[in-house]
Amino acid sequence: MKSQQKILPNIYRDSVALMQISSKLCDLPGVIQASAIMATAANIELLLEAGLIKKAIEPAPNDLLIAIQGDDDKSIAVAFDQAEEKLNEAPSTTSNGNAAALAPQSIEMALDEFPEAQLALISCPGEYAGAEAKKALQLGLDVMIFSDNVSFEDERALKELAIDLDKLVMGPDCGTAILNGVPLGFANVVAKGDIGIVAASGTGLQQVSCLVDQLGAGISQAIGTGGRDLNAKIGGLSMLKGILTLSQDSDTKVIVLVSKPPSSEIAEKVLAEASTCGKPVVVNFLGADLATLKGENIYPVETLEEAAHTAAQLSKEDTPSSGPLPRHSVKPAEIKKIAQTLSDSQKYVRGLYSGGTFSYEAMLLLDQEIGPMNSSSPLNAEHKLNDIWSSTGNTIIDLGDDLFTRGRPHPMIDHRLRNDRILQEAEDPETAVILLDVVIGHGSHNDPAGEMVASIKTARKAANKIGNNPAFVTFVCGTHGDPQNFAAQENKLRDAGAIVLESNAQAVRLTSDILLAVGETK
Amino acid sequence: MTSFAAYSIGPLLNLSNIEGMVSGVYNQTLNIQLLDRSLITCAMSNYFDMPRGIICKTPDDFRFNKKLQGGEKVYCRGGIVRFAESKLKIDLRCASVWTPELEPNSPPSEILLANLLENTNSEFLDFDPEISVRNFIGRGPGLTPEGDDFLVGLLAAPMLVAPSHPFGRTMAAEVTKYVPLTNDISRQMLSDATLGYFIKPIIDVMAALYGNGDIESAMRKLNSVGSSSGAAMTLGVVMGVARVENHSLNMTPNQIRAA
Repeated sequence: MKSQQKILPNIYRDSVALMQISSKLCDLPGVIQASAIMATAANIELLLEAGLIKKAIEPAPNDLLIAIQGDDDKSIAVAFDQAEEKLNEAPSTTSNGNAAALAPQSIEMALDEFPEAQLALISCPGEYAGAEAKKALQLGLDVMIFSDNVSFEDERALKELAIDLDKLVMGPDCGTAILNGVPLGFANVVAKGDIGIVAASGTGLQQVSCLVDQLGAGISQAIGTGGRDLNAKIGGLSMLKGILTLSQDSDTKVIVLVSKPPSSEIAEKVLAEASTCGKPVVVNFLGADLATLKGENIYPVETLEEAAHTAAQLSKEDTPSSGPLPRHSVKPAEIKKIAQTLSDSQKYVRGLYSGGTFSYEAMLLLDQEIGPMNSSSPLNAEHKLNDIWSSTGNTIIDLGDDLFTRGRPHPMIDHRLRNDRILQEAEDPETAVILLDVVIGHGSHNDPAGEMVASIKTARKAANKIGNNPAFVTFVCGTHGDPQNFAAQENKLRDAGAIVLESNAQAVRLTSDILLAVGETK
Repeated sequence: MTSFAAYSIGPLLNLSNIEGMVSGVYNQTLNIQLLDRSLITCAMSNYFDMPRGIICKTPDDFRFNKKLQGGEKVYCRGGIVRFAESKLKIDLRCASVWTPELEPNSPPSEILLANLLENTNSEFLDFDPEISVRNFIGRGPGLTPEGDDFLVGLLAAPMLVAPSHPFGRTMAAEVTKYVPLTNDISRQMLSDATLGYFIKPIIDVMAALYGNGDIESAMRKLNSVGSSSGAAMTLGVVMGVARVENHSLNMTPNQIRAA
C-alpha cells in the first residue's frame, strides 16, 4: 500500500464538488482511499486521523490538497491525473454554442449578470462564509449558507442583520430547502401546495415534505434554519423569521416546525410567535414532552410522520385525528415468522443511518419501546460507544456525522462506508435487524438502492454462513418526482429481501416489534 | 455595465417593490411598469422631481432611448435597480427622498387670478366636476392627453391647501371613477394627484401663488413641461386656486376692480 499527496495552489472548489471528485477517485482500480479537500488546518487534521497522510503539512487554505492511498504508484498516478482532469474541466458551452463568458468572481458580479436572483447560496470555507453572506444580504438577497464552521458570533450577527434588512438567512450548515418550488441542496421534488415547513433539520425537512407529497398535499415553502438556530446563542432567529414569512405568505395555510427540542426560553419565544401567526402550526420538536408545547393553533406531534399527516389533514381543513397512526403494514404473523428465523444469538438492532435526524428519531422511539440505544451520538452520554467503528448491543449510528466523514464523502453521496458496515453487522452473530434509511432526491447518489442492494446480498450470504439471517428493514425518503425513480428504488430493495416501509417511524416501530417478538420467542 | 447613482427619489417610491418592465423610453426619461401595474419614472439629472421619480446623475450626453428598449425586465435588489438586457444599474442607496413642502402664506388675490385666467376658453371656465371630469379624461392631444393634464392641475389647490373643500372631494371622487378611461401614464399622475402628490413644477407654482416665490418664473417652468402638458396643467392649477378661494371665474380683472 502506498500513499501520496499533491498540493494544487490557488485552486478552490466547494465541499460538494470535492466530495464528488473524492468519490470518483475512490472508484478507480487500485485506489484504497482518496480525498480532495481544501488544505485548511482542520482538513489536514482530518486526513491525518484518517491515515491518508502520515505527517502534518503547513496549512494553506487557498490551496487544494489531494491525498491518495493505493495499491501501487501507478494506480495513484492515474488517480492524480483523473483528479486534475476533473478540476480543469473546461466551462460548458452555452446553448447557442458559444464558449461560456468569464464566470462572475463576486456575488455582486453574479447579480449584475442575473439581476432577477433573489437568493445567494453560499458554499465556501467557513471562515469566509460569514463575510460572503453579509455581502449577499446587503446586496438585497436572501441567503442559504451550506458552509459550516461559521462561529456562533458570526451566525448571530448575520441573522440580526437579516432582520434589519427584512431578509432570510438559512444556515449555516443548511443543506436543504425548497423555495418557490425549487429544491435547494439535498432536497426532493414535491408537489406545490399550502403547507410550509421551517426546519432546523435537513432530513427532517425531507421526510416531512416527502410524506406530505405522498399524502396528496403539497409544499408552499420549506425553509431550513441551520442546525444551531435554536441554540440559546442564536435565539431561534431564523425559525422566528420563517414563521413570520410563512404567516404572511398567501400560499401557505398550515405551518410545520421541525427541530430537536430547544431550551425552554427559546421554545417559549417560538411557540408565542407560532400561536399568534394566524395559521395552524404543527410542532415536531423531536423528543420534547408534548404537554409543554401549548398554544393557540398549536398541534404538537411526536414524529416526523405524524407531522406530515397532521399537516395534510389541516390543509384539507379536517380536524386531525387524535388516535395514533398505524404502526406499520407488516402483519403480526409475519413478524413472528421473522423472529423465528433468527438464531438464538440474534437479538439486537444495528441502525446504520445517513440522516442525523432519522437516527435521532430512531433512538427516541426505540428508547421508549426497547430501551436505551448505544450510539456515537447517544441520547445519554452513558450509552456512548467505546469504539464507534464497532457496535455493542442495540446500536444506532449516524454515518453522516463528522466522526465518520473525516476525509470521506457523506454517505448520501458515497455508500462505501455504509456498505462495509452493513457487511460487518451482518457478520456479527448478535445482529437481528439492520435498519437503514435510503434518501433520494437532488444532491443524493443517483442510485442509492442499487448501491445498497449488492451489499445487502453479500451481507446476507455472509450472515447465512454463520447460521444467521438478519432482517433488513428500510424506507425510502423520496417522492415519485425525484430523479432516482422512487418506485424503482423501493423495488430494488424489496427484491434484495429488505422490508420496505413508508417512513422512518414505521421502520423503527417494525424493528421494535421484531426485537420484542425475538424476546418472546427465544 | 453602465452605472449611475440617483440624486433623489420620489416619496411614493417603495424600494422593496421595484420589479417590472420598461414600458416607455424617451430621451430624458424612461417609465417602468411595476408588477402592481403602477408606473415609476427614471429621469436625467436636470429633470424635475416627481412623486414616483428617480433622478439620476447622468452625463449630459446620455439619452435613455440610446441605451434601453421597451419590454426590458427591471429588478431592484438592495437598493440597486438593474436592467436585465442593457446592463444598466441605478444605485438608489444614497439618494435623498424628495419631500415636497408647501407652506401657504397668503392666498392670491382675485385680480391676480382673473389676470391669469383672462382669455381662457369658456369650456374650461364652465368646468363642473360632476359633469366635466368624464368629458375631459383621456381627451386631447399629447402623450398625456391635455384633458388629463388640466385635471391634474385642477386638483392641486384642493389637495394641497383646501382638502376639506367640497370641490376637491367631488373632483377626487370623479377622477377616481373615470381614471381607467385613460392611458397608464396619465392614470398614474391622476391617481397620485387625488392623493395630494404632484410634480415639483406644480408644487412650485402653488407655492408662488400662495406667497412663496416668483410666480412668473414658476409658471414659466411649469408651462415648459412636455410639449403642451405644462400649459394645460398651469391653467388647471390657476382655476383650482380660484375655485377653492371662491373667486369668480367669469369676471374680468376690470369687472373685479369695478365691483
